Amino acid sequence: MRVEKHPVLGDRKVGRMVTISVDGAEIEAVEGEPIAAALLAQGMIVMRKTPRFGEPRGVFCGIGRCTDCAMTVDGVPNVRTCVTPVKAGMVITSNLKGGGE
Amino acid sequence: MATGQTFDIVVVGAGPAGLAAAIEAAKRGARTLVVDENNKPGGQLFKQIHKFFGSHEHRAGVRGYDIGRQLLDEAAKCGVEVWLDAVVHGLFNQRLAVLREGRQVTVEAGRIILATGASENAVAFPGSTLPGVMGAGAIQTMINVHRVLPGNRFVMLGSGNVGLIVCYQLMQAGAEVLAVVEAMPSIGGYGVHAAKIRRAGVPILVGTTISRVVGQGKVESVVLATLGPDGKIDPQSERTLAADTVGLAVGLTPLTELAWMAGCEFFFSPKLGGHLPLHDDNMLTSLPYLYVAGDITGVEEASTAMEEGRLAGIAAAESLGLLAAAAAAADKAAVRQRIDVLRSGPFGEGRRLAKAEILQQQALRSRQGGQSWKA
Amino acid sequence: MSNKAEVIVIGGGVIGTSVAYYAAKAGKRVVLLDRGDIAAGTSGACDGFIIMQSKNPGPHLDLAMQSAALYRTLAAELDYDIEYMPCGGMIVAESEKQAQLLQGLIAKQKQAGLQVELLPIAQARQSEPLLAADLWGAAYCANDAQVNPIRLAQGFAQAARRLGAQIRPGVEVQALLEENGRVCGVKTGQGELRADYVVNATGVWAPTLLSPFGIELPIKPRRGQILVTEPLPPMLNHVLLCACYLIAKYHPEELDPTDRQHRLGVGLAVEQTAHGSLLIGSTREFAGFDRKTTLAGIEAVAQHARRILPALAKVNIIRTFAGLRPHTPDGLPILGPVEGLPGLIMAAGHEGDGIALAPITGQKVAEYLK
Repeated sequence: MRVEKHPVLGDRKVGRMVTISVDGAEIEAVEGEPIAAALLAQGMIVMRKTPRFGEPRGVFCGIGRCTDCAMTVDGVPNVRTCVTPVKAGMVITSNLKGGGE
Repeated sequence: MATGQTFDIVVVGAGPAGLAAAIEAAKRGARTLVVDENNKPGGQLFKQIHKFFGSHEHRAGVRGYDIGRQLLDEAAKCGVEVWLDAVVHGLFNQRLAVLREGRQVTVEAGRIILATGASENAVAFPGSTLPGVMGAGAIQTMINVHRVLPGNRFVMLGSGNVGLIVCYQLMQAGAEVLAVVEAMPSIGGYGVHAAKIRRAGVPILVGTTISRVVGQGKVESVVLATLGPDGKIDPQSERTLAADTVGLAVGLTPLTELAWMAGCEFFFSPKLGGHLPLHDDNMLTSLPYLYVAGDITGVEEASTAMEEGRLAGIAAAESLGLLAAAAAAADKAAVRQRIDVLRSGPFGEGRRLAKAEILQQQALRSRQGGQSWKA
Repeated sequence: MSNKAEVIVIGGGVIGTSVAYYAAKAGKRVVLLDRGDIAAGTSGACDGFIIMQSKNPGPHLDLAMQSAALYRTLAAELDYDIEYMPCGGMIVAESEKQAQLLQGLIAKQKQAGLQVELLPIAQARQSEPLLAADLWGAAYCANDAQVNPIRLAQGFAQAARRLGAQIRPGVEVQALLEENGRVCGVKTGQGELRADYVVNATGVWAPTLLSPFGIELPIKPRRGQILVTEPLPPMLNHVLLCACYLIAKYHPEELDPTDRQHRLGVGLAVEQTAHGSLLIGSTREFAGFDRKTTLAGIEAVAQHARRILPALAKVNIIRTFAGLRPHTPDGLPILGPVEGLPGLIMAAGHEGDGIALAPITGQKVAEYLK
């Protein structure tokens, strides 16, 4: 959910909206925001599953350290979505089968 | 591989400590570079939307993100070079290996100031790895910087200032906070922050912890339990809150990897967050070219981090012969006085004592002739 | 601590824990001491190659083949996942000259009963597609395998403990105790401990305990720097070495001292761990006991890895580390009793073969403890 109004920060200034693909679904995102923010705004909170036990993981540290939010972006595996900015047309896939792909 | 850039001073980390250090060094004529792995400078300042406390010099009443903007403007004015999206992945004596926008470069530095900050601690309980359990700082970044709420109904674990402030900011962003949970018998943070969220009707449950988080693939509910006098969970006391997100505000740990790699001496200080590079009152480590400032020297807060940065910046410039000893002494004395003020009062006292212990330890090892100390 | 054991093993690496396990299995009362922790030294800073085709025919290869046979059932025996993978191995030849060198070794290995095939690059790429197309080819051996050395040491230590051995990390041995010309125990930071036999499995640190007796063990630390990548989907089918490794190991006189890669002794050793990360090694340098990585070392390893596996150019390195290999002049470990110092058994000096030889070393040393 987007925070549209804020008592200190004021109204959200809408950046350029672009479309990205997440596991085949097209979603709207703000250009330049972290991929993870775009997903959370849509209520998508599972970013990957662990290779061995298939446990779900989502954003945890938000500063690029824990790698729990890693996804495959434009074919590159292990991209930390919390520190990688959205670009128009990105194709993002979660690692929901486990493993590095 | 691109090589060969040389700077008088290279600062690692563009947060409050790093920027303050770079400004002081550059003002005194040092050719200064700041390197940060993030694509925006300012460290964690830009998610701080609350007003800072303290005196006028400490920019009391100014919100964190405005302080961040002022620092950036000042750094630009002094001619500080800032590299973003640039990871320092290795320190090899006075050479830094940097991955800058995906390309490997090396930088030679007369002095290096590590201002790498700290990262949030995690805590394990059944369900703690479920999506929806997040660091409080991660939540704060999402709501205040990216304007996205990662959930609707929150439980916060930890009642230190971070936990309390983030709860208040969650409510400002329109979320519901069901409870703040604190294992200790009393609230950890400032009374003024606690009062703000209590007035909004959020209970702060002391002597309580999260016994588990339940959910299919994501957080669906949080089970709280009271801690008995033996510190163990009382199973009779368990009750369930229908939260979808859990924030963890259970302290920070200094990011010391580069200091370990450099090989400087360390000291263990539980009060300040763990293993810290030992340093003297000029923020100099046991290596003659390596300074530290901010949370890497012990977790405190942004105002102290900036002052430590200033001290390191002045001292590093002085050691390069860029200012006279008398001028340096006066400048440093002024900063140290301000740091003492920040570390006074009931909340500052513990940090002041812990810091004094580090300086004492440094003096002791220095007297024992630690080979590398100020070699 | 109880102050009398039958066997004291000093060193909690793969060699020490293996000795502790096989000795305990033989019914001995064993105490294993390590000043740090299990696999905290060399065994925690190396790759996991169990490679046969790098060994010289003779005792070296014989031991390795016996060890390989033990490995096949080891995980079940220890009841512990040591991430053993019988994946086969390749030694890559960049040039005709290197291929000839391999050819000579292979001929002797075949006589010794090890099946190794020299494959031209087109054929090698059929089973290892990421190899650079302009290499000469690779020697392939189905008997090569890999294991996780840290889990191996843990597996040995835990199995030994179940058999009654005491595993005591954090106890530093300061000196060997001697009585009437016989080693009869050790002096530690926590008191003295006596035993019928003391096994010195302290790898690069082994000489220190013997120098008070006028014995200079010819073991020198040789540093190996290794790169760790992000976890990746399965991309390698074998453990990979390059012929430079063999040259550095057996023909150092062939190295060109003006070439950085040669000077640092870089020979490629790449494996993909069970977790998906690639371990990419390694330098071979004499740098004393300095365990730091160097920029030159990391760069040389990375460059060479890209030469052999060009796809690695796009892979992220997430960590680097260095370990110290116990080098001996003849490339063979020092195993067994020490002349003039009864009661002491040596099990050290395996250099790059410690993982391959760990099980057989433990088994052989246990046989000395009668």
